[in-house]
Amino acid sequence: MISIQQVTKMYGPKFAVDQLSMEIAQGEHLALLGASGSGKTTLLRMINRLIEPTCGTITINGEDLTTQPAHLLRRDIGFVLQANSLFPHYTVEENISVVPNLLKWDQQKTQARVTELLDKVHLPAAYRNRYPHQLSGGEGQRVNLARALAANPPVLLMDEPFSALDNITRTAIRQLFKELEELKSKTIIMVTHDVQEAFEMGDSIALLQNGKLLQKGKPADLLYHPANEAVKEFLAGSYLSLALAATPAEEIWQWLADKNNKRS
Amino acid sequence: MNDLENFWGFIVAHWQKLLEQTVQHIGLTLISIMLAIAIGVPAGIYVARKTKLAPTVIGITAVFQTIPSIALLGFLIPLAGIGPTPAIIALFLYGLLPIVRNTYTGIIGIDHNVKEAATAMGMTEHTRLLKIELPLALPVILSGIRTATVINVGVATLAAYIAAGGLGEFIFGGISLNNTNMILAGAIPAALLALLFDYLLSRLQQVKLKKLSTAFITLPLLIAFSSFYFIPGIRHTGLLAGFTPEFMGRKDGYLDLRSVYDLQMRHVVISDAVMYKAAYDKELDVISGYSTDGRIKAFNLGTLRDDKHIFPPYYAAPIVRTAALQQFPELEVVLNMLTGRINDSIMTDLNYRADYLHQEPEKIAADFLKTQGIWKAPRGGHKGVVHIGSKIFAEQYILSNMYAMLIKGYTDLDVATKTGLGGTKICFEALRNGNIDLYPEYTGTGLLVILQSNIATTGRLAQNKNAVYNYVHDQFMQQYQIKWLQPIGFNNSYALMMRQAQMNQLAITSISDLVKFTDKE
Repeated sequence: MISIQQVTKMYGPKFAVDQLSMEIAQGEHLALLGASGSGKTTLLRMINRLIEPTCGTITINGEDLTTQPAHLLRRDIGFVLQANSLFPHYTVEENISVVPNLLKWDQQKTQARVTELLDKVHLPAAYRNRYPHQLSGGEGQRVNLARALAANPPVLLMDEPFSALDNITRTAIRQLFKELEELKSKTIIMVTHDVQEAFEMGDSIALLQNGKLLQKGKPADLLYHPANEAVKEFLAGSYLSLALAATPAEEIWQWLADKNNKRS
Repeated sequence: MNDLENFWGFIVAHWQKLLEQTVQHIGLTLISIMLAIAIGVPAGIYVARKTKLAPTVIGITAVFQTIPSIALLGFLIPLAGIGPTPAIIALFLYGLLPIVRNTYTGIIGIDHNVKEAATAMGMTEHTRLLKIELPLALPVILSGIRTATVINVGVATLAAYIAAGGLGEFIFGGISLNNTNMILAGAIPAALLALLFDYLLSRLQQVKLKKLSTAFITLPLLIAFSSFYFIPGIRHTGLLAGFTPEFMGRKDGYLDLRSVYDLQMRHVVISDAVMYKAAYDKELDVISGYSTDGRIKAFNLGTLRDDKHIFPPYYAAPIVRTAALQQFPELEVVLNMLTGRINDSIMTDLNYRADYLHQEPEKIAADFLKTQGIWKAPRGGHKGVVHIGSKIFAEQYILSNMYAMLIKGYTDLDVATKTGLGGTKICFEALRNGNIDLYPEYTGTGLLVILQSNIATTGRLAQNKNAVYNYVHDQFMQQYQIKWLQPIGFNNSYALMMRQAQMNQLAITSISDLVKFTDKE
């Protein structure tokens, strides 16, 4: 669905992204993983043209991003940033209604959508009149997600959406993201520097280093079939816990059962 | 209590004038602030986009603010003349800095994540500016506007110097006429206006952030209100006179011009610092000047004959604190050395050198003393320090320099000068309080402005300059322990002046001619 072809972004003489190519399928939940400076954030922002590539092309459904004005393109792509990106002078309802208003939806439709989304992200309906400063970090991030989903965009970009949250809240919000029915059909690209999070949230992972793609594949592929030493090294620190996250329980059970059989 | 009654008495007697000045003051402030908003906010937005330009643009607006207000008004006269226009330009320039800087800071200060989110939602630059950046920066922008407004209410008092009206007319009139009630009648409303505007803008600041429109709905109202100010100014035909605040309030000035000559002509109030230049630039046709002023010759002005003798001639003489004379007895002899050496034409010539040839008052003073053969090199003594004051025009600068040189050359005293005290009241109060020991004063000013003598006394003394001198000499000694030394010699009096060319063209030579001419109009 999204095709990144030979994309390069230079800041002065420095390569932030270096001739990178990647295909992202419809409905894929991709985690862009890498250390800081690996180019993952730059890559994400080139997909909704917050950053323009120095060279190379990106297409969505075969259509080059640059064929329409950037602001129109962005209305079809949801974007979730860190928690403090809500508009502080807008209520929860107004925050969620930003894109529908830009698309000139009629008022009733927008209001109904706000009600629906508040329910989906498990916020009480009364919250629609609150201001961002009256919300906790976790609540703010739920609104943030609702805002990104408001106009039902087919693609969702997320930039370290959980990094500003404390551990307990982060777990709860991740859970919400995983369970939300509406997200399942969408193509999601999420940037993270947290290996654990990438393995938990992504059904595929792209590992970046110095602006280059090291490997893209299912979590288990990266773990068990690393493309090179760099990938192996990157994952080495938390191998065991990743193995548990990457391997479905029935596979483990089967494996255990096989061994038992052999013994008996 | 009595003072308070006097003050209320003044207000009641002059309430119409006070109201007019207040409306003018509000008009000047609001129009200039609105212009500053109209230019300053977009400029602030622009430099917030092009941050590389910010130091330059903000630097330029800061330069305007470092120019002393009176100097800025002076610079503007050749460009914009006198009246409300240059005053509004000056106030506008003063208002720019806080508004540009706060708009810039307000927008730059918005959380980067919020701005990025707005762009990522698909807002255009324009929408983002209107819906996100301006509302979020509004409290900071408004506080800049508040600062600018309060500054401008204060600076607008100076507009009276260039005939733009406002509460400065009372303030500066009171200073030159030694009338405390008049000063307060201008200063208190000005202070109240500043507080009122500050309060109203602080209320506006609390209005819900996103309701940007509320802030702009008030604008047309303000424009409508401030336009009242311009309505009287639109008609402009015939001759226009410019009189100093002091002239306006003196019996031997505007009051007799009305009662004796019955002169009815349109006039504005203006500072004598810019009045002559304004006449030369044809901004004014008739002005109230001093007969010895060098600018008469410098600007090719002519003096109207005072055919009904309302401007009596007065002596100039140094006035000295008796305490200073007791402390330094040698002072009196030295100060009297100028006596009889400067007549009318010499004084006019000395003033001309300053006003037209732009020689330094110090050089003019030294040259004169040398030609008189009384110049001596300073002795460099340290017996004590004499403080000499002067008002803010050439004649006073020249005289005070002469006194300084004589004291340094003939005594072991040192001299400190405090020149450019802006008005009779400031000069005289400085003398009374011992901030200065002496300054040159005119007997007419002593009689009418400082002693505030009643009509009976002035009528009795009028036309006899020696009688006036004796009267002020005795009264000053009695009331203030201040001594009038011997008259320097030249006479100074008020005179009405016009451009020489215009006098010829209209065949006006005397004040009566002028009255006839204005009546015909």
